[in-house]
Amino acid sequence: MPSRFLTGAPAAAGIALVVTIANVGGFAGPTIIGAMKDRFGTHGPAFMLLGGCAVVAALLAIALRRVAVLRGPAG
Amino acid sequence: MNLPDLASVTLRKVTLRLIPFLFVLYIVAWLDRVNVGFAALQMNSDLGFSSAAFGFGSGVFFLGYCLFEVPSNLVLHRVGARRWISRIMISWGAISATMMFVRTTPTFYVLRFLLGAAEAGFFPGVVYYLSHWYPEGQRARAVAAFMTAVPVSGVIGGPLSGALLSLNGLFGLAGWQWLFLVEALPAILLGVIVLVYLPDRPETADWLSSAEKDWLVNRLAAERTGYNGAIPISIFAALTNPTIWQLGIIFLFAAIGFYGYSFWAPLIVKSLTGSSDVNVGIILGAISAITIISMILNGAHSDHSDERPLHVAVALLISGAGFFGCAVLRQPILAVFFLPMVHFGPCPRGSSPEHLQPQGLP
Repeated sequence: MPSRFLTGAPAAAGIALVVTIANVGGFAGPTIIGAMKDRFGTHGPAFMLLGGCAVVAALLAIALRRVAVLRGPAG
Repeated sequence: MNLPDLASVTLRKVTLRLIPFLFVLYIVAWLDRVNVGFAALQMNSDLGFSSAAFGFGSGVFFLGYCLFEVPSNLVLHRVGARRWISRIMISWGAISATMMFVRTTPTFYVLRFLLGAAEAGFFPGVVYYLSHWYPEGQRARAVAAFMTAVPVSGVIGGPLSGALLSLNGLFGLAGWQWLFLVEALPAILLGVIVLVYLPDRPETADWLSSAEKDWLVNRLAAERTGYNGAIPISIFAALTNPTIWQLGIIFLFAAIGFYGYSFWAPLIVKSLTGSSDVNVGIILGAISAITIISMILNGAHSDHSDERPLHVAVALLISGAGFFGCAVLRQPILAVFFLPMVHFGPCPRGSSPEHLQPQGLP
């Protein structure tokens, strides 16, 4: 969505920031499952946590609808 | 030939020449990134890796990937996309093949980190490359077509990985060693082919007529100069913009689920069903096939209604329900049916982290 309300170098910086944060998730996801599997013996607790993450992300995405007005004329 | 004809003929030629080939490259990239999850079916017990060690080794890929993303992009602009994409593919293929020699957790971590470092810049590199070939309106569709390679890679990679694991013992190599070796070779081979097959720019494409080249070059040049009506917002303002951070958190959580699933799916399906390695591969291939359908439907509906946040939210809620279902159900077979739901979450266009780059944003 940054590409929809930003353009040029600031958009690139904004996208780079989001991609970097998302890559941290790529590191955290499998690591969390592994650690919790060793701790609890099953995947269940880790899956509950990941399901919770997905729900929070969904709520934040719904909240994003309000900022659509920030869209530039080109977007 | 009048102008609209020239435009469509030129772009069709570009699409036929570039997109199927780039699609195959991305299938291979994805295969080599997540095949460690299939290798784990044998490797973890052969080498005595704990779940924590396997999880960390899978994830540490992203630290290398993240750290080298910016440097890789800087070099890309200097040496050109063709040579840099070739270098990326050959180096990740070599590192991926080297995974077959892993014996201890430290070497496992180092190689996974290096694999991420080697692959860094591939996706943005391809997007940058496409920007030399497509006017803005058509570029989004080209990139979207390229991205469908991710679930297609799953359809091919599942059964292929399962079959390679069944070579266990052939010529004294374990199945997981065969898997790393065989799945790395296409990356190295394609990396070499990139050098001869991909032209750097339309100007050097001998499969375009001079009229077609002129049209494309002029059209792209006109777009670049007409680009100065940007919204006045500074880089600092972009980096401190709360909406950017909100997006970051959405993608952080989406990525935790998506990659948590991607690397653990083979072990989880195995523990739920007790199937053979070959059948685990087939089950996961089928799940990816379902993903392709849902991704296309959700993407098309999202494009049609010009709406992103709700489409992403619905997909994430389905994914969350899938995770809860897998966690709670005691019936293993029922739990497996929730896995396609888990996989659905990141699939609508652009909700996988690196696909943020061009237009793939929610």
